[in-house]
Amino acid sequence: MNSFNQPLRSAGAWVDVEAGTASRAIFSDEEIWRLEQEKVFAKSWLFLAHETEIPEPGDHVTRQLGNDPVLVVRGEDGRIRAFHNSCVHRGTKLCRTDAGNSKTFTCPYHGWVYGLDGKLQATVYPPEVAAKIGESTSSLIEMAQVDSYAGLIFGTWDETAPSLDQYLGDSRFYIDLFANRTQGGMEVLGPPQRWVFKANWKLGALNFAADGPHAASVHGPITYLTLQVPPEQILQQLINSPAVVIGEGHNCIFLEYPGEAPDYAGFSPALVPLYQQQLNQAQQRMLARGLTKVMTNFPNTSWVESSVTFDDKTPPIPFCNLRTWQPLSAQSTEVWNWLLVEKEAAEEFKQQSYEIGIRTFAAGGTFDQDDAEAWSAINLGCRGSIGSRYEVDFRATKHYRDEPIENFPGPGVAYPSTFSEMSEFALLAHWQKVMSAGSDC
Amino acid sequence: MPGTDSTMARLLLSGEALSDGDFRRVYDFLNLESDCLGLGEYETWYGLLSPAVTYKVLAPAFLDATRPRRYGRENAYFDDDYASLGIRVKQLTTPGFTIAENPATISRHFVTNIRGVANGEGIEVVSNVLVVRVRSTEPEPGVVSARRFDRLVETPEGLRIESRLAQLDQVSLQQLNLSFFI
Ligand code: FES
Ligand SMILES: [Fe+2]
Repeated sequence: MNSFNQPLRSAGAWVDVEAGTASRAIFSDEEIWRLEQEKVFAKSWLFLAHETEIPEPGDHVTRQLGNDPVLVVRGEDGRIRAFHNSCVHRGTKLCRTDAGNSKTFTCPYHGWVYGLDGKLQATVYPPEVAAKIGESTSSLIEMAQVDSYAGLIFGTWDETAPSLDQYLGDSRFYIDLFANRTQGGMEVLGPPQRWVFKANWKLGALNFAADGPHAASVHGPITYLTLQVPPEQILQQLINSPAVVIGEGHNCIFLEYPGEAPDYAGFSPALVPLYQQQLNQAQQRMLARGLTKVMTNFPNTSWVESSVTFDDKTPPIPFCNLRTWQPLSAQSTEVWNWLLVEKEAAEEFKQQSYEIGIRTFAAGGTFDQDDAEAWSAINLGCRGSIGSRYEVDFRATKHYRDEPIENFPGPGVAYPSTFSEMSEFALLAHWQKVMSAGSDC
Repeated sequence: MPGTDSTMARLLLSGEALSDGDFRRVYDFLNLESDCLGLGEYETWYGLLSPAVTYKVLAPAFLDATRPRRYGRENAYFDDDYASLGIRVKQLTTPGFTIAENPATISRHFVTNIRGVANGEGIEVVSNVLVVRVRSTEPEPGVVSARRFDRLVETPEGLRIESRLAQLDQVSLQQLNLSFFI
């Protein structure tokens, strides 16, 4: 932090856990957004890429974390490193492609050359000058820690952050249900899609933490069109399905199959034995009964899986969606959206899962199209000087917060209904805690 | 899609150039189609598709000119068939089925640079399209542009779209959704 930056305001008490409310300003205020960059995004573990995007030495992909470009590289030694994607000379964005394979990175401006380990290898400067600018000792700004869980590469700018395993904590039980359920693990079906909506990143993160009630009002019709599930039944399932506060800001909901559906109803029968080998009993029970599961890993990595069909001849096919919500500004967010599939799956299944994925949760997705509309509308309702004086309402939590489910099979504290809004609100409560850390408030 | 443009260039050079009459029919057909899309007449638009239609919209990527590396499948925004397009049309045309299109987006499709070649089975057409969108939640007009490769087939009712491949021009789409066809 240098003296040119505006002094940051300290955290306010934006989320009132007791009252079940939060200030609308957290969705539009630029100062809060700037504080978030320091308190949340500079300190958390952030999802970068999937290992199958960069399988070979020299493979790299470029990413955006907020407004910071990041280069994720697999080195000659097989190790994955992540760098601020900017030349240390004048800060020029170094690698300007989306993906590639190379042995070095050459800056487009004055031609400084960096190795896959980020070390400055050569400049065109005369030797005596090169010595001064540290030709042999300079290197790219590296993320403080980079680690993987289940093929998912995360990085943090904070060298004092706990390990990734500690950070993900109990959410690993649930991540396993999405992405660590066969021995071979998952692969990406392609590069991430990217699109921008004009609203705060937390609206996406909260929606996937997850907002059960909206699924009836917003997605009821498309669920009916695709799966022929009547809206009344969807509503009942949402009311009767659990919301799980996993802890440390990680949260999810599980929409369960109605009682009469067989176990693993939406899954490929060929993969079920692999799930049974890989997962523990409690995980198997949850996967087998889960129709739709939606989760956010704090702060901005989200998941959704369900089974859908777009044609009356084919049974529902599952898709597995992973995304991040990149905070471009207080009122604009870029979504990075991946689809994953089991490596062991048959080619035909992979293609089907891919098609279902892009028709549901993607830029052209029939579910996403309505979510982004709702978040844009929230932005319009909250950003004004009058609007931002008021609160958003999570008072449904008051009805449920003392009534967790006993003997829920997974870790965390589960509540009996997605209408409890407990898991969604828990993300905000954690956000408040992180924002207040180190200040008096 | 890599190669599509060079394939089209070869076709345009080697194939039989469209007669003035055929060109006029293609031109009228694409204008009718873009009016349907711009006016939200999606059911009429659906009627312009062959039941065997394949409909793809692809995202571009920035890759190194000398060492491009692609992985996974082509990055598609749409990879649809007649049945799935039918569901999308129902969603877009049924009041109350999509909050994203109620109120409807005000949009206009501009189709230009039309060329075509007849190849026995139908007419291969290449065109550019620019879509301008104004939404109730995003009053600034948004634009989406693409290069389109179509195969039109002759039917007793006239030309129909048997395949469409639209290569979009934005790597990061500056749109909150794609609740329309291109
Ligand atoms: S800015 Fe990179 S070499 Fe000068
Ligand atoms: Fe949704």
